[in-house]
Amino acid sequence: MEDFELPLDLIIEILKKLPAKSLMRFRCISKEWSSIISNSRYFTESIMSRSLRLPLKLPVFIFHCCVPATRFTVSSTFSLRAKPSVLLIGRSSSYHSFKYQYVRGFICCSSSRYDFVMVYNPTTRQCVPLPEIKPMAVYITRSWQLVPSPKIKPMAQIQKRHCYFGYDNVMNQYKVLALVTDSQKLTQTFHVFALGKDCHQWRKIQGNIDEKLFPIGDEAVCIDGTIYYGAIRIKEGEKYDEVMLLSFDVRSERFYHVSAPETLLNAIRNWSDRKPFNHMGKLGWISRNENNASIWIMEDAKKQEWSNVITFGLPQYEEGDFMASSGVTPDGEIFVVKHKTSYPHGMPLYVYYYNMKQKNFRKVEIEGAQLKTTKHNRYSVRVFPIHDYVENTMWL
Amino acid sequence: MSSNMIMLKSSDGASFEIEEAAARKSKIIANMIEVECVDEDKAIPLQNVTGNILALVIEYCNKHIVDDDDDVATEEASEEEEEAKKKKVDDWEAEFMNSMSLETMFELLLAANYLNIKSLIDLVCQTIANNIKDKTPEEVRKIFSIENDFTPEEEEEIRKENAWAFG
Repeated sequence: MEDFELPLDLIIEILKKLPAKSLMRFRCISKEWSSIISNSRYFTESIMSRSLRLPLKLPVFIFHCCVPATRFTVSSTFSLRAKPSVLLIGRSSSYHSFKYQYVRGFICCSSSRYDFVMVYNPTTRQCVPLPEIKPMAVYITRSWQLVPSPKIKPMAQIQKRHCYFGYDNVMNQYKVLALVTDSQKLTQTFHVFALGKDCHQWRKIQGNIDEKLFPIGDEAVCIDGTIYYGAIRIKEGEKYDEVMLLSFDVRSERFYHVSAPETLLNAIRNWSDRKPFNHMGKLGWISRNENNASIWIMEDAKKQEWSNVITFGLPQYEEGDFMASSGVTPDGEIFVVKHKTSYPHGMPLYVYYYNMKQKNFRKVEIEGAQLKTTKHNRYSVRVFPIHDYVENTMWL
Repeated sequence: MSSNMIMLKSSDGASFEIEEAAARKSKIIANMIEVECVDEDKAIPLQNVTGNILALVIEYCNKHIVDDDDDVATEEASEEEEEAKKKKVDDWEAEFMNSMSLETMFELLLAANYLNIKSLIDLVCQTIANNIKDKTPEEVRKIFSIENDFTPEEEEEIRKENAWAFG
């Protein structure tokens, strides 16, 4: 077809109909095509809304495996040999060493134990390992024999790092906020990594909050350009006292207090597991003790008015123990997933969805998660469900 | 529905008679009818569309008169009926696009764009996308007459980043 040129807007209409794999292959066609596919906000957003319109939307899971090497896969079904699998460290690690945060097609994997943060996009399979944060120069030297890779080192016990992943929808920019705390000196430093072609390092920021407000728990959520997390005021020689909610505006990089009811703050302080989540665009918080879970929702972000929605019993497990992650789907349905720790025998894995009207759970089996294991073939899997998964072709 | 007929004239002088309701699938023609610049016995000249392509456009419009007419609320058609109807349209569209050359598809796409027929643009784009989705970058460049403006090193770099997509 010689001398036949389509106007650009029609080429874009054609590209919008292509599967992600073809789009990734066609990035090398020309600079124009590459920049449309990877950098045009209009285009990447149309691909995202396309994946939201799919009629049968299954949840997608991050399967974190820590034996024999630490790796994860992203899929709606489980397989030990799933491809692609993203290697985190080339050996086994303890069960809770890594956590995952999902924002608009991107996954941020970070560790409180290792100096490690990585951003991964399952659509493009782009892996962006973030550099070391400089003030974290103290490492445990004793455990050198456990560290095959010189890049990834365990951190000193007194230092902790919390990484929160956010997206600024005005500037179309992803950022990672790192809070580095030192429990001996009672100090905290604040660092930001803005993901993008021209950024290669962490930037230390002047946090506009009291540095003794340490993050509590490991969980945060980003809604509408704001990251929310729980914090506790650390006082020397005293036990934990004041708990509060903080927010971080991803664009202006400023912190704010979020007022919250005393019952919620108490639950955050006392209950074993708590996390913020996105409840149909509103900030929600789920707290869980051994048998019950409670949900709060901030009905009005401006007035910061909350409602305690429900407290409900958790599903019973055949195996007894309860290691789980929970949250809420975009449709407002509460879900709980149990993790699988080193099993002597194969057991199925379920996602439990709570029906608020009938006050009971329905369970959905995760395909492929029932595996026969032997002593020599142990595995240990943590499951992080993503219910608002979208394809995003943006290239960082 | 009234069956007012209007005349369309292609760039190469061929005249086509078409029901007004079908012609209204084109936002451009619908607009012309709204502002009454259509003379009853004069054909609307379409300077950017040749006769053979206009014939395809008209074939498409005739087939789609009834559906997606936003003003007309469909009566209590059961879900099954709706589904059967949709399948029939899908089958017809597949047959319509089947065996069409890429070159014809491009011309049809340009015509649909010029006449502003959204559903036809979508259909042709989807068909072109299905056609090229498994092709190599070289083949796609040829189809779209695109000049490769990457240096060999730059291209190699991008290919490496997306090696999985070439499997």
